[in-house]
Amino acid sequence: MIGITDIASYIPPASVSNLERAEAAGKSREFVENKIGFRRVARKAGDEETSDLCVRAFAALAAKRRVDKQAIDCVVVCTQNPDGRGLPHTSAVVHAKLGLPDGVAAFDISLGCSGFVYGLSIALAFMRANGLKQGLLFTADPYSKILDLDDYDTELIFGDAAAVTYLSEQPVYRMLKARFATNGRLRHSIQVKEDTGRLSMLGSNVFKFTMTAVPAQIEACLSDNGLAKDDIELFLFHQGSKFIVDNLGKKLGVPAEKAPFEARDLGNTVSSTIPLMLEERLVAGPTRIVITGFGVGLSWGTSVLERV
Amino acid sequence: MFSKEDFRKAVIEGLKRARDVQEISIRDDENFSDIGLDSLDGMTLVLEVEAVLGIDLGEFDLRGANDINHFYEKARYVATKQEH
Repeated sequence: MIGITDIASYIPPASVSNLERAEAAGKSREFVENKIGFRRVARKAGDEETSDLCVRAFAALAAKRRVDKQAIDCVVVCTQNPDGRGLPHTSAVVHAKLGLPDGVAAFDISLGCSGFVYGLSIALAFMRANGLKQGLLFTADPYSKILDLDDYDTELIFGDAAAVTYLSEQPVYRMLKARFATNGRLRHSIQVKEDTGRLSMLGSNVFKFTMTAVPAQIEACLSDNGLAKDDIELFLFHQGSKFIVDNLGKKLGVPAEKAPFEARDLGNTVSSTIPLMLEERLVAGPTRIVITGFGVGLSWGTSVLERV
Repeated sequence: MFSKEDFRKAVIEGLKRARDVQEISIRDDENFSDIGLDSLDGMTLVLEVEAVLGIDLGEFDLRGANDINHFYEKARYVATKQEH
């Protein structure tokens, strides 16, 4: 059985204080801290590429455990902010920078905040279908590449980070059935504007979709897996903002301690928020964890991880 | 189509839920921010009003509709457009 064996991450050392720039952003410190929730947002260095974030996440993995590069046979990078213009694909760049052998399947997945759930399902299914044994799923979507510095509705939210999820036949968590959904009619809610090349977000659309479609999907996914909310010890929601995480928990009737907000000093790191929270729970973590990602697309995905 | 009075009741109920309080007092022309509603609470308010009235205002935000009077007018305009 292939599943999640380990997770490691890279968080750039530099960050920007949202509390210090709250006034300039026209927000109160209380609003920044208790509503948006991000006191700081991590920022990669200007010359750091997306592939560099992946390579540093891998270095963190290699520092934790022995990973035989010659045995890796699958590399997947989930990003919408690839190296250069995305050609060649960032996973090929990572492949080269890590010095992996030629017999490696490498491809990118273009998804935002739902990317980890999708990426995990795709990578595991691809590996199973093709008899692959050891895979690396990278999530690295540095939004600082596309943020509009004058748009505080996004500047105060998004942070840069990368995570690598090591998949093998010695897993600590296996993935149960997942649910995926899309509402492309609302794709303009989170987009890079053609004219400016900068990110634009309609917060009210994102909030409404998160409070309606996402809870329904979580309930349906639990039902698909023959589970009830009480069977779940932990709900790891994509860390869109504290306001979204808190309200999603309330909407589902899940107490705050079971649906934590843990990105206060990182920001919303897009497809990396869920693996960043999972990372510290791989040793002695709970039996079942719901993971839910939602955002760009609009796209949302939910699954359950079960301890092996 | 909802009446102004039904809409007003829905807003009051929505404000109570958004602010997590038992009672709320607000005039029809009083700015929501004057009773402590911020932009994110405003998103909750719209959802709660939709839920109370059983309507879907689609892509709706409170910009330019920061009191009951203007919220009602904007919501009625959207609902009327949806009917046609």
